[in-house]
Amino acid sequence: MAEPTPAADATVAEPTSALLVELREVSKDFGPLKVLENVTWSPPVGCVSGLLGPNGAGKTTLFRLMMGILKASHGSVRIAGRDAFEQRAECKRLVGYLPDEPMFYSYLTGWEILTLSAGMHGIGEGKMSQLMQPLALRLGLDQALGRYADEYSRGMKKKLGLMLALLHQPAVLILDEPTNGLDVDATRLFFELMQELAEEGRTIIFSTHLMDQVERLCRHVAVLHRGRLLSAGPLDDLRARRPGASLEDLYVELTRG
Amino acid sequence: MLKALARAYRARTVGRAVRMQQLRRMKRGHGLDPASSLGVLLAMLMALAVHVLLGMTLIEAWNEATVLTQMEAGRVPLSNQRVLDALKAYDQEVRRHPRPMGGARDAPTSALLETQWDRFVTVARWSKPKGFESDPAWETTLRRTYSEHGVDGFALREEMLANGRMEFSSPLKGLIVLLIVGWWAVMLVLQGEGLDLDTQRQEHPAWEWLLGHPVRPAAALAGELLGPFFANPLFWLAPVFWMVAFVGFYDWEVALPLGLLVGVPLALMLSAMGRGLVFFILLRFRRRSRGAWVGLMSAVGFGMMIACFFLRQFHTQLPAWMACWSVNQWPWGGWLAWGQALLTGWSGGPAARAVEVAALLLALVGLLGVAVVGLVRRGLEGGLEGAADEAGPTTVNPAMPHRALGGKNALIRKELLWMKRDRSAVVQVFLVPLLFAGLQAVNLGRSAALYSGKWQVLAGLVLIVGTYFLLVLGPRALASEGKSLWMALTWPQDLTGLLAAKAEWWAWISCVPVWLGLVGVAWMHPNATLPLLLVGALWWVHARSLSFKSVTMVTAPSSTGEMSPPTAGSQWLAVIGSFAVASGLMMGLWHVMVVGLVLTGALALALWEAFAHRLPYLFDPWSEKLPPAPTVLHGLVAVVASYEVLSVMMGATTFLGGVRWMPLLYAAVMVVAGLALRGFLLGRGVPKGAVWRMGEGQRAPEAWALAPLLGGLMGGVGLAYCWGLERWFSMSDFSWTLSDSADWTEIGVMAIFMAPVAEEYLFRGVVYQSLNRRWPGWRAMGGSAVLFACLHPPMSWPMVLPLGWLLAWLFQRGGRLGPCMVLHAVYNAVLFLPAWTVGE
Repeated sequence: MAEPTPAADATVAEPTSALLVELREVSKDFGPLKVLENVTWSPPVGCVSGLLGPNGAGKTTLFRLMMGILKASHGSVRIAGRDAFEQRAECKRLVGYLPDEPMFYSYLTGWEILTLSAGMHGIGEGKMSQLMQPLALRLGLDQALGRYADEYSRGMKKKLGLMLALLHQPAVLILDEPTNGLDVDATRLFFELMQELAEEGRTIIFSTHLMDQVERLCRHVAVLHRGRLLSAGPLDDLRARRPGASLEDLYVELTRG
Repeated sequence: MLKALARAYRARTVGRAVRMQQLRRMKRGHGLDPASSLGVLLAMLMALAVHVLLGMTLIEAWNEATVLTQMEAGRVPLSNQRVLDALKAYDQEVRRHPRPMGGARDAPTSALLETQWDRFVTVARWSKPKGFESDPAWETTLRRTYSEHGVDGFALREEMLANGRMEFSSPLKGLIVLLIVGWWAVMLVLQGEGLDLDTQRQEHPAWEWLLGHPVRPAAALAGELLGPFFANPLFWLAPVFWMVAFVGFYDWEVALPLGLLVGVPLALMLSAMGRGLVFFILLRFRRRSRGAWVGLMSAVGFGMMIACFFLRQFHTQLPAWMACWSVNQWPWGGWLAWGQALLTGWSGGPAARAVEVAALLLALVGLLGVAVVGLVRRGLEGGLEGAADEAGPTTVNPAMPHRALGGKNALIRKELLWMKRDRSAVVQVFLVPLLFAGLQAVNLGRSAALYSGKWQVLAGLVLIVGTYFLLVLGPRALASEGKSLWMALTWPQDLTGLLAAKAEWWAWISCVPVWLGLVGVAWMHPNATLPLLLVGALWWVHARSLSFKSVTMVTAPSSTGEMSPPTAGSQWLAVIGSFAVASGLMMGLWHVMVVGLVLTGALALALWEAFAHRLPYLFDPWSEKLPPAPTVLHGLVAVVASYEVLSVMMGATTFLGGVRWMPLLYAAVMVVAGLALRGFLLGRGVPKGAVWRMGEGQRAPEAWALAPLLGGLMGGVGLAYCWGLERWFSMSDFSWTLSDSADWTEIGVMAIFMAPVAEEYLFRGVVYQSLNRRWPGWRAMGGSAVLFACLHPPMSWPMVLPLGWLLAWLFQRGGRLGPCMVLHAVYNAVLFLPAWTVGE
């Protein structure tokens, strides 16, 4: 019988390709329902990429494909040269994920959740504490970590989720609407963190439908609409389509066109 | 507004059922399960049965109580006229022989008298109420009653019932009514909208939505309180209980409308009471225990409903037990007697009584209404936010991390913390499965006509409870993760690690009720302590297999949060063969236990392998690809299914006396299994000859020559073994006993033509080949040999095991199944030689 075997050592697997995340002609069908169609996209390393799209565009499905939770019906999804589904164990060591509404076990404290996740990634408690304590202080969670995680406010849950995503020092960070429901201070803190992480050489992908956030944070933008990638490239290129137009106008033009 | 609400709740229930069908369809891609489209009709039939049975239980218990009450007053019931006639004949005889003064009236003065008395006692035996354990005690009562009251001390049962039915003075009858009506009422209160084991629930899902409507809050709440009434057929048919009960006392023209008149308001109010309780819990109880209590209530309500099917067998015992407590003599018995008024009123003719009953019950409805209002108001006192949460664990200094959850056993420790801190864990893991398992045990325990002092039967029942316990727990393996499942999906181990940890942990937990049960059995049968210790150890091994098998039934929450139901196929796979160990113990057949252990273990291994392969597609069934056939699982399922069918048939032939057909039956079952498996594999795209050939084309023609030689040799060894058994141990191998009773034609057909072909196809062609792909070499050979031995009687195991090994080796060597069949056929032919020579 399979025994629960956490990894022996927590070494981040070495990437085998320059581009960490590569999606090539990816399609996903749920039976007769086509959710993604022929998406080709490779967000660049070392910068923050935004995935824009209305609700139902397929952003969450795309993230789940990258996480290896779903398998692409056609095309390939590769993380650091490895197939995201077939080699999901290795890929999960490279990817950190923050869902839209993180929910936590009602019977564990924040600290216990961190230790559990660290254990599953093969990171010892000492090392985890070393890594997470400064982050906890910075996020203002250090006092709250001793309380049950499901009693946290929405913002605190997101912060804990971010800590979990960063626990194993992943090379790719996927954030599903990370600032949804956060107050001004927390949003600013998240932005600062994302910039710093990008400068460290990680690939940050976050989904949103708030234009001002994209403008403030992203250098690379992809627009997803009804399962199709309408545009993907540097933000400046998108702006160059119609100089002077706001990002919102450009987005509306793309999605209506 | 009422109509709108009724429509809304029906729509909600229908919507839930449709959603379940959708989820099932999504998983397997084929259409509606025909049974589920009859869901409402079946639910209504079941509800009807529950109420009718409970109503009948009430009437029958009432009748028994009536009779018992009159017995306490000194009258003895006789079941029919024949018994009374026998008594009268005895009485006449007594009168013809006058006694000396002062002599006892019943002192027999002649042989004829004695004969008459015996005749009377013999026919009166069937009149004995359940309260009397023994015939001598009954006879003493008969004698005493006759000597004190003569024939007048006896009456026909029907007369007693007719005279005493409406009598108001019996606390015993009152108690019976209160108990059974109480059971009915509590069952309805706890029903809710159906079985709902969402023990993670912490708040009402839609308070703000509900109370945000432009209607008075009281009206919105009242509507919500009536939810179960509109959604659950058990409430619609609740008046049937009263109708059935009243038919025992009034004409049906009165009984039916009366039942409807009181039944509908009662059902409405009980539904409101149940929902009111749920509100109270969700608003006032501590966060971490809310879901637990609600789940427990729902499970108990469900259990009480199922128990209605068994309660009827106790209808006569119930009053008798209470009569033992001398209820009729209790000091406040007079108050208890008022319980009768719920059925019969208290005075006057039938019409007046009917009015009294209606008034009483409707007053009760009013009282219930007041209680419901009070409950809901109390619940809302704290506001919609609910009770303050209890303090969590002491704040941990991050510099000194809490050591609870590090390292390899992180998952097991997480489960431990879950059990320690979350009340719902106790409900989900212990109480609910034990409840279901206990119900089954009671159901099966009725066949404790088998229990004539044997510890094996009790111990077997304990194991059955443990088995059910694990089978109920398995599919809910992911339910306790609830909405935190996403975390497990980010770990490198996938869900396999998480589920394996749960399976191991639950195997340990199941040991608690089972070992406690076995200790109880040992206390009752101290001389069986040693075998019971062995059974306990066997359980620890068996529980692991069962637990892993059961976890493979797990389903994931859908995108909208419901748990999709396990597929029929996965349920069947997990359940098949699970009860062999327990039933083997009950029947005292140790070899059935051993075979059950081996087969369950092998099946668990194969199921888990297949499950680990399927698990990545848990959220993406559309992408799931089946592994190449034939797999170990296919072979094992065929073996286990054959074993189950064979056990049943062998039991039947032994019982019905058709032992001589056993060889042909055996062969027929094996051939059918082989054909079924072949059909299945062809359907899965396995090329026609693939099973008959080992690998690609390697052929060794010398295998054909070796086969008969080896077969003859092994056959000779086998004969020697049988002879040795007979000579030195006076034991007969199966084949010898068979030769005595069966015709040589049948043995010939079975042994040479049918069994070798089928068994080789199954055990070497499918099982050995698939095992060899996964665990090549001696493990595959040994494994297939062990499984082969499982289908043979235990005394032949020392021969069959090496034979199986040899056959696997020959298949590997020769590359074809043909030589194996020849070897097997020759071996059988030689072994049954005595049959050829001694038989007809």
